[in-house]
Amino acid sequence: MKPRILPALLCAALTISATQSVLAEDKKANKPKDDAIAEEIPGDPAKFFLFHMENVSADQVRGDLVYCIGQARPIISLRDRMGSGGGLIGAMINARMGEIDRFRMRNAAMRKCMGMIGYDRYLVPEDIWKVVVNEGDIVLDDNALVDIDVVERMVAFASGPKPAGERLPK
Amino acid sequence: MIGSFKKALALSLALAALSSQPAYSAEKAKKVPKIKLDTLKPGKIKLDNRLGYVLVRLGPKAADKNPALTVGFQRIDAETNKPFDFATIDDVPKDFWRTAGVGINVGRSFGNVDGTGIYYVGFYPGRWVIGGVGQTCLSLGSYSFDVKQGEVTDIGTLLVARENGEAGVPELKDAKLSQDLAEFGTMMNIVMSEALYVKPASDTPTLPAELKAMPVVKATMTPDYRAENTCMSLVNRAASLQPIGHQPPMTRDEAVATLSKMNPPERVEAARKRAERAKAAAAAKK
Repeated sequence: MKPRILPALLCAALTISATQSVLAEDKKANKPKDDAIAEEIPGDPAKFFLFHMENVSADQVRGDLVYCIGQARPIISLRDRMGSGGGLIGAMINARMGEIDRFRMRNAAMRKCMGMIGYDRYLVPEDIWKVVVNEGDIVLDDNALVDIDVVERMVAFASGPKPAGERLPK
Repeated sequence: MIGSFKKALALSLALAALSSQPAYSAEKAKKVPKIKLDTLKPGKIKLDNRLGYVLVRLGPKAADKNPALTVGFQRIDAETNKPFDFATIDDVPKDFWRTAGVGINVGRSFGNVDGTGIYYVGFYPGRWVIGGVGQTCLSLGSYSFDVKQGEVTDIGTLLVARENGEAGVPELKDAKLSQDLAEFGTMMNIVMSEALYVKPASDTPTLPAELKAMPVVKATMTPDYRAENTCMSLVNRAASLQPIGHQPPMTRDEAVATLSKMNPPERVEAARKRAERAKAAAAAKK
């Protein structure tokens, strides 16, 4: 695989300055909302969801899912771009926080991409979600790989009968 | 007689020395200045005849919940219509970095039109794409356009805003994430994406005197330029484009082949070894 260093670094340079201004703005806003640290919320609609569309073939869903996974997979967080201080402990905390940030950002990218194509998003009970997605998230498994078996289970869900769960905003 | 010869020799040597001085200076002057793709500042215009200049109207002005956003442009390979792809860092031409990316911010402008500022920006000749806005990569759909040396290329109006539903311009009123994403985070909202709307300009502003000699060309904005997420960031599609629609259908085998290109081989190998170790550990417990 050829390294795509150039465009990545170019974009990174442009986004870092922009993100820093966003950071400053949000500090000012001081929103009283939950944080990325709150990773495991039971029934969390930001995590335990899957996509669905009526009257769509499995092959079509597969094409759409693989495209969107390809878009979401490379995402890295601001923590990844900026590095960390605080020695070993700081690095460990930052690594964990960065992992959660990436997970949240990948989910947001999948919602954007699949939502734009026209898929609905449904809340799925945690135990069912874990059967479909296994360990990891809807893009990457715990080894940071895209698992074809997970993709296939998401294809079956998306092209299957209309889910019983709540339809969530895109 | 000898004295006058000496004087003549001295004079001719001095003249030769003087005449060689400009040649030496010219040699020194040949040092080519570095290319800088900067936004021109009113009253301080310095043009570079190796470049073309892009005329853009950028807005809306920053407001409370919508800070100023950088619009990122990326030069692509006009032959492949894809990002330049170098196998190693050694393959990158010298100073290529200076010619391949431009960022434009809202700032001191050359005037205002409908709430947007007018900017002139140096671009290296070639094919460019609007690559991103703020921390969002426009990989799901953007625009490409060509810039020629010695021309002013008018790319129209770019409206940009965070997707919090408070853009303040009708073109981006629907650019709003669902509430959970719009209000995410305490320190900063890492899932807040930004939107772009591109519209052609109906008229051309009066050019600064320094640019008046250049022809002004309305850019052909080729829609729906898609790319990989090379910014490694949140993704979006320009709000001014048609809906994205379905991707080509894919069989399971095709998906396996595509995913195998996405998964780095070293990570696949590491995962295989980890699974083997876990299996061996489980067997040892029995």
